[in-house]
Amino acid sequence: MRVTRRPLFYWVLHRYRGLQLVLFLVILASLFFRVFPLEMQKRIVNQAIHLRDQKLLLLYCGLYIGAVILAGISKYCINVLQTVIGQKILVEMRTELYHHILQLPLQFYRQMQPGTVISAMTAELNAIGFFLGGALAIPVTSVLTFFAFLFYMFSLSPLLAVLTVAIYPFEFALIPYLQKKYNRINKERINTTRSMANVVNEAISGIHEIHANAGFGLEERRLAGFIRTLYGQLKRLFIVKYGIKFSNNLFQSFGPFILFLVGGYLAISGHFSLGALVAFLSAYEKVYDPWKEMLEYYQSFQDARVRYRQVVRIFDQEPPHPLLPEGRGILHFKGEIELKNASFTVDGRVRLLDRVSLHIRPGELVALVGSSGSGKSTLALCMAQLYDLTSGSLLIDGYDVSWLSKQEVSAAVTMIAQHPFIFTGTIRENLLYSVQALHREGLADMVPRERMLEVVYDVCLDDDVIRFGFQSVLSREQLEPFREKLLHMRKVITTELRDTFSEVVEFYDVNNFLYYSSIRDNIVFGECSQGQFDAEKLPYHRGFMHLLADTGLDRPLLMLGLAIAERTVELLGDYADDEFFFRYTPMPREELPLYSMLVDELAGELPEKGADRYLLYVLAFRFIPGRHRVAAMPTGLEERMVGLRHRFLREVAGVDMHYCISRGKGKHCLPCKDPEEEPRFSPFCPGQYLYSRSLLDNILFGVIKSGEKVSEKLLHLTYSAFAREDLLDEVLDIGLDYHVGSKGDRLSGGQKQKVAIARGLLKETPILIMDEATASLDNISQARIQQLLEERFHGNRTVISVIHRLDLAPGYDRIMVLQNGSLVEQGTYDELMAHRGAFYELIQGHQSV
Amino acid sequence: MNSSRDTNPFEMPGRGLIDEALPFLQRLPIFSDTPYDLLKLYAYLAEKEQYRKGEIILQQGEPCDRLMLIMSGSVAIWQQHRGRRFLLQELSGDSINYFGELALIAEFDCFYGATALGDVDLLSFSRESFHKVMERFPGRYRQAVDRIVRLRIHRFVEQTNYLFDHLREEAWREFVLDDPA
Repeated sequence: MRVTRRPLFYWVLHRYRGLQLVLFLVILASLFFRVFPLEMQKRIVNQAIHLRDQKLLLLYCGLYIGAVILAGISKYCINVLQTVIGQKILVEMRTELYHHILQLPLQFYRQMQPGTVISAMTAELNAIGFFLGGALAIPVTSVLTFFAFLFYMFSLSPLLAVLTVAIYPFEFALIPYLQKKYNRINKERINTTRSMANVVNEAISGIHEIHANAGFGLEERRLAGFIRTLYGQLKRLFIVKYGIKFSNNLFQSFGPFILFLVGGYLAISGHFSLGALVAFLSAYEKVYDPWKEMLEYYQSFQDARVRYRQVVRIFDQEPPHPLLPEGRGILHFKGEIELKNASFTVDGRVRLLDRVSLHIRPGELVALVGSSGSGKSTLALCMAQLYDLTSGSLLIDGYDVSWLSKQEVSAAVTMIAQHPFIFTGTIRENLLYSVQALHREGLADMVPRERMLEVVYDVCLDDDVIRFGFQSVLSREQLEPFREKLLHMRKVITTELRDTFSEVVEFYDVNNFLYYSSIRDNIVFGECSQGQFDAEKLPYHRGFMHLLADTGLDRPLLMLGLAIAERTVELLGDYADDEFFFRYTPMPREELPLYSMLVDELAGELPEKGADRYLLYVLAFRFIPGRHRVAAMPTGLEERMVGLRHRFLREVAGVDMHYCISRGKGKHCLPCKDPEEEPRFSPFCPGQYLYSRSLLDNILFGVIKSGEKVSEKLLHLTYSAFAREDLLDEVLDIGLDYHVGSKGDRLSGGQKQKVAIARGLLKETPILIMDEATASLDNISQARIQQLLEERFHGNRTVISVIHRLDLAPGYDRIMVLQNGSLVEQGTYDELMAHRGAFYELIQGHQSV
Repeated sequence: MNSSRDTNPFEMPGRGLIDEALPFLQRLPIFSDTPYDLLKLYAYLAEKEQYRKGEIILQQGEPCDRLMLIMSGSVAIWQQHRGRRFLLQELSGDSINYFGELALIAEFDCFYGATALGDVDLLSFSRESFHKVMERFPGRYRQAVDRIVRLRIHRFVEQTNYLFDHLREEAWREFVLDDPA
C-alpha cells in the first residue's frame, strides 16, 4: 500500500506486534495488583480491626503494600514500553515517508513551500509519535481496568454500583460533541501554523531583499494576519478543551455525593459493612481513572488522526518512476537519444515544448541554443528524466525513459545545472556525492586520489582548492601524513627562497624584532594552547610582569599604551560606528568609550591604579608596529624587546631556544620531555608546527606584511615554490577537505559551478547534459572546459550543452535551435550560417549586443 | 613626579607615518582647504608603497582603486596601443605629483600604466577610504568631485599637448584643420 494511503492504525497493527503483546501481558498483571489492595482495605477494617487481631493486621498491611509496590513497578514498565513502541513506529513512519517524499516529481516541489514539508516531517509527526505508543495499550488497559473495578464494586453492592455509573451515559453524549468541535478548530490551527512557517521561511530566505528594500513593515504585516488568526483559533481551542475538562470534573464529583448519601444510609441501617464502604469509596475513585484516561485517549486519538491526515494528504502522489527496475535486470546504455513528438505543458495550458523530434547519436557533441524562454532548459531537464513529457516519447538507446527506473537513468545521464546546489560539507564530500549515490555504498576509496585530482585540474578548480588548502588550519591527525613534507617546504622557503619571500613575509627569527607581529608575539614568541599568554591575560601573569619590571620595559610599554589610547580617541572619536576606521589601531571599536573615559581621567599622566595600567598594557601588547600607524615604536626599544624575549622563553616558558638560534643544528627546543605529550607552549621554532595557524602561515613561518589579505604576488610565489618541490597535489588534497559552509555559501558562484561540473564528471556517465553550466566561469576556465568537451569527450560521451554564449557554438558537431518550444533548425555551424535562418539571426543579434 | 612621562625622550612613542604623510597631503590640490583634523584622518588611512626601478605600479587594464602621491622618485605614465607603450608624462616627487585621482570617484579599469623610473616611495589613498570619510561630509564630496574633474581636464590637456609637440611635420598635415596664425 502506498505510504500516504495507510490509515493511522495500519502502523500500530502492522509494527512491533511481539512488543505490543508483551505490553498487553504486563497490563493484565498490573490489573491484579491494582484491584488486590482494595480487597485488603476491606479485610483490614472488617477483619483485623474488627477482631482486634494484630497478626492479621500485619499480614494484610504487608500484602497491601506489596501489591501497591508491584502495581507501581508494572505501571512504570507500561510507560517505558509504550514510549519505546511509539518511537520505534515513528522511526519507520518517518523513514518511509521521507523516502516517498524525496521521490516525488520536481513539479510537486515547484508548488510546495519548504516550510510545509519541514513542519510536517518534524513537529507534526512528533506529536503523532506520542500517541502511537499507547494507541493499543491505553484503550485496552483502560477498558479492562474500568471493568475490573466495576466488577469488584458490583460484588460489594450492585445497587451502589448501578447508581454511581448511571451518570456516565450523559458524558457519552456531551464529550464527543465537544470533541468534534475541537477537531475542527485544531485542523484550522494546523493550516495556520503551516502558513506561518512558510511566511517566516520565505522572509529568512529572502532576508537580503527585505534588508535592501527595508521591507520590514511589509513582512511584519504579512505575518501579523496569521498571528491574529492563530490567536483566535487557539483561544477557541482552549475554551473547548477546558469545557471538556470542566464537564469531566463535574461528573466526577457527582459520584461521591451519591455514594455518601445512599452508602451512608445503608451503613447506618446495617445493610452494608463499614469495611465494604471504605473499599467501595476507593474503588469508585479508581474506576474514574481509566474512564478519564479513555476520554483523554479519545481526545489525543482525534488530534493525532487530524494531524496524520493533514500530513499524508499533502504528499499523496505516486512517485513517477520506480527507484530500481521491477522484474528485470539493470540496463546499461551507449548514449543514443531520440525524441518523438515530445511536448511538455505546465498547468495544462502553457506549452514549453511543442512536438519536438530529434535524434542524437552516441558520442555526439550537441549544442542547444535559442533566446531565453525558447524551451532549451526544459528540454534538457526532460532528457534527464527530471521532468516528464506531457505527450510524445523520449528514448535512450531505444528504451522509453518514462519506463526506466531512476537508478538506470542516473547511471546513464549526468545533469549539471546552471545554478547547482552545493551540499553543506567539504568539497570532497560534494565531489563524491553523485558517485556515492550511484553506487549506494563505500566512500572515497571508490574514486582513486589521482582521478579525483585529475578532475579538479580539468575543471580549473585547482587554484581555488590550493588556496583553500593554504588557508586550512590542520588538526594533528590531518597533519600527520604531510608533516615532514610541509616542514621541509618551510625550510626551503626560509632558506633557499628567503630573499624572494622576504619582500612579502617577515620571517620569525628569534634574534630579530618583528615589525609585523604584535608586541605580545615579539615577547612571547610562541603559542600557548591554554591561552595564558594572550595579550589580555599577560598583565595578570606574575612571572611575566616581574620580568617586565626587571628589564625596565614596563614604563615604555605603558607610555606606548597611553599614546595609542590618546591618539585613537583623538582621531577616531567621531567614527566609532564604523569598523573600517579601526583597522590601523590595536583598539577594537567597542572599546573606544572605555578608553575615551580613561584618557579623560588620566589627562596625559601615567596611571597608578592597577586596572588602568592593565588597560594600557593590553593596548601595547596588541600593538603591531608595521600595521598600527596610530603610533610608532619608541626608538631603540626593539633590541630591548628581543632581550626580554630571550629571558621570557628561558625563565617563564622554560624553553631552550638553542635549536632556533643555531638554525636547526642543535636539539629541538621543546619544553616537555615526553614526545607523545601535547606541548602546552609551542615557540616559533623552525622544527615546530603551529597548530592554531593556517598551513600557509606555517609554511611561510612568519607574518605576511600586507596584513590579513593574502596578495596575489605571495600566492604566486608560494604556488611556484610548491610546484618546484612537487608538493601541489598534497596541498590540493588538504584543500579538498575545506568546508564549503551552509549550502556552499563560502564558495563564489564560479567555484560552485566548478564543483558541480567536477561532481558530474566523476560520475562518468555516457550522457552529459550541461545547462549553461559554465556561465559563471571566467573566460579561461570556460575555454578549458570547452576544450575538454571537444577533445576528450568527443566520440566517447554524448554531450548536450545548453549554451548562451554563441561563440562557443562552432566547437559542436551539431547545433539545435529552439524557438517558442519548437525545434526550428539543426545542423553544423557552417551549415546554419550558410542557411541564414534562425541561428544566423541569433548570431547577428548577439554581435550587435 | 614619578608618573610624568617626558623624562626619557628615547622611550617616547612617535607618530610614524601620520606625521610623514601630513605635509604631502597638505600640498595636494584635492585636499586644499580641508580642515587639519580631517587631513590627519586621511594621513592615518593612507598607505606607504615602495617600488624598485622598473617595477610596474599600475598595469593598464587592471582595476584602478587608489590615488597615488609620489613622496620620492619619479614615475612614467604610459599608454599601450597596438602592442607598444607610449610615454604620456613623467612625474617626479620634487613638485606636487600624483596620479590615479579619478579612482577616488569612479570604478574603472586603468586606461594607462605607471612604472617606477627609479626607486619610488608612494603614498596611496584608496577609494574605499575616501568614500568612507566622504559619507560623513556629502557637501565636501561634491566639491572634491568638481576638483578632481578639473584636475583631470588639466592633465588631459597637458598630455595631449605633449603628444602634439612630438608629432612629426608629415603628421601635422593630417591633423591640422586650419592655421589661425
